[in-house]
Amino acid sequence: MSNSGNTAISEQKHGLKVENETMLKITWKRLKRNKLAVISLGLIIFFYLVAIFAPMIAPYSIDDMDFDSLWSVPSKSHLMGTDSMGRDLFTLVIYGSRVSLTVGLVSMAIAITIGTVLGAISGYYGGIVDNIIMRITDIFLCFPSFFLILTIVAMFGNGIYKVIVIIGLTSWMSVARLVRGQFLSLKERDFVEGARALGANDARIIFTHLLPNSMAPIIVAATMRVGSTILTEAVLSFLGLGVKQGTVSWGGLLQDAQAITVMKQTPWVAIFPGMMIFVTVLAFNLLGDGLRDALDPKLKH
Amino acid sequence: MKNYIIKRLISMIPIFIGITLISFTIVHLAPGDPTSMMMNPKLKPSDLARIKANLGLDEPLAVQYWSWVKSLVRLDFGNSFMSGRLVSEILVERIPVTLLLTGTGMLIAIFVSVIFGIISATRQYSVFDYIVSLFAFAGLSIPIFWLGLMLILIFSVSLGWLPATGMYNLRAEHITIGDRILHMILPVTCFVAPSMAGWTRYMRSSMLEVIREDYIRTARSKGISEKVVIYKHALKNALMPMVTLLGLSLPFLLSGALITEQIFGWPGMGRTGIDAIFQRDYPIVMATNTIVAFLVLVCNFFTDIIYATIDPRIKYN
Repeated sequence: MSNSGNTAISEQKHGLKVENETMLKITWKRLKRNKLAVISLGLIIFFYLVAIFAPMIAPYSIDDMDFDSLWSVPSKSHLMGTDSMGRDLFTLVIYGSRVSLTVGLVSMAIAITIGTVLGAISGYYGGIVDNIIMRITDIFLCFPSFFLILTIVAMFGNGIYKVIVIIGLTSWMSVARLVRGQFLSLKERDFVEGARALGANDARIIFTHLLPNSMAPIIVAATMRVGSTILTEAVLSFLGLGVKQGTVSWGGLLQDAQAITVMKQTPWVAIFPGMMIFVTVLAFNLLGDGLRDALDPKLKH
Repeated sequence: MKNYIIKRLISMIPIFIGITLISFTIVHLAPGDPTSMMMNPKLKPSDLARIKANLGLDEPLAVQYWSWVKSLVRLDFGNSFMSGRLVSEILVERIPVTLLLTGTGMLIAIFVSVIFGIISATRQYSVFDYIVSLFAFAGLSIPIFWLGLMLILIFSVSLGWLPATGMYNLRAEHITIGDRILHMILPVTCFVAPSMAGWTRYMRSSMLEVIREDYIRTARSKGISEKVVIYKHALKNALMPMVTLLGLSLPFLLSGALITEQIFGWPGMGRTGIDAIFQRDYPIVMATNTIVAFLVLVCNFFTDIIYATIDPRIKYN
């Protein structure tokens, strides 16, 4: 931070853009020191690429059934073995990643958007608005989240879009509280007072001053949220309530694997899809943890 | 303090009303009703209408809600649509079964996480600390149902050491304690993994924060042995946030073992709840949601009160 004077001058010239760039650079520089977080980031990008290009990468077509090799042990031609219908498990796992990764990302986006908007309004305006929003948050926080999601999904029907929306609509509460807390403490700070004295309106203060300064904890929460959402979707599909029958998902693949006979004959059907869920969620959690350290302005190295 | 308690109690009323509203709405606004699950081909449409009327499902929603809340206050949760038994009777039967699993699990989790947290914090950046952190992350990231499947795969299917499902050996003449314990090992391990992981991390950071405080340095500079400093001076304050965590986790005793119970065939609350959801047994679903949400509310309240009493630094107004 030796050229803080320069930064200040260029900031005046170009507004926020320069500050964002340096912020990104500083974060990346700090994140690079955390090897686990960098590996996790690499894995996550890799998984998303595989999911996007699944038809090109998968060795077999998704509904290929090889009746000559039912229940075959993992081998060169079937990296993760085959299931009871002779489908190549490696292909299924690649296609299954599409569901988990989509649900994780989109549900997270919904939850973070709702949480940020409600938290921002609550924290900025305070008073009766704050009171009402926070009481609603309290009510939702009282419910055991998974049982609530399970109830809604069972009542309103399954399918990937419904699952995405339902998980998103039921997991915004902690983000709302987080953003509210940030806004409460930030709005008392001098730079906000200064902006107001210069005639900035509410929208300008919220979007150019308060929100950018609250981004660090929101990014961390968002990263971790993807992981927990993937877990939720996996359990729903495992119980047969997630994506519709016929759509391949990691949780759904495990649903077939829970019979003792399947586990005895083809343990790999139970092992690989779950391991993929585990590794993916672990990567998001480790990245989130790394980002928390990298984005914390109080940490000086 | 008295004013604070009264204020908190009053603020709980609208939240409780909100809880009942949501529990009721989710179940009743959904398309389809319990009679759509009755697939018996002998039932005529007029029979289904009669069943609906008997269950009170043909009345306006507001009337249904009001009568449900009225009986709720008297702790009457109605009768199960499927079995016709009193919901309260079913719950009284199932709750202890769940508590046996979750209570045992939670005790183990507290014990282990406090000890591991302390050792991790006092030896920050050691190999032990590193391994504990890694396990904590793994515990938070592992899908519970897959962990359950893997435990069954390894210890029941491959090694044949432990029973995979149920609470006791169905073929045995008497239920012995040893048999019960054998049946509990796998489900408890499965249930305990995520909470143990989370609490260990929590205890570690709580302890790390405390041992950096001035009074600990003072204690050390007085020449008190490290053991006494850690276990007598530091531990007391480091455990304080754990009280909050524990208080907030109590409702988890009822709701936390949903998936574990499903996988290991443990006949507790969780399985009852999941079965009820699949069968659209409204009274059980509403009762389960409401009871757990209400418990969360009450536990939040008591946690705040207890926290205020044991930590003199906190002042409420």
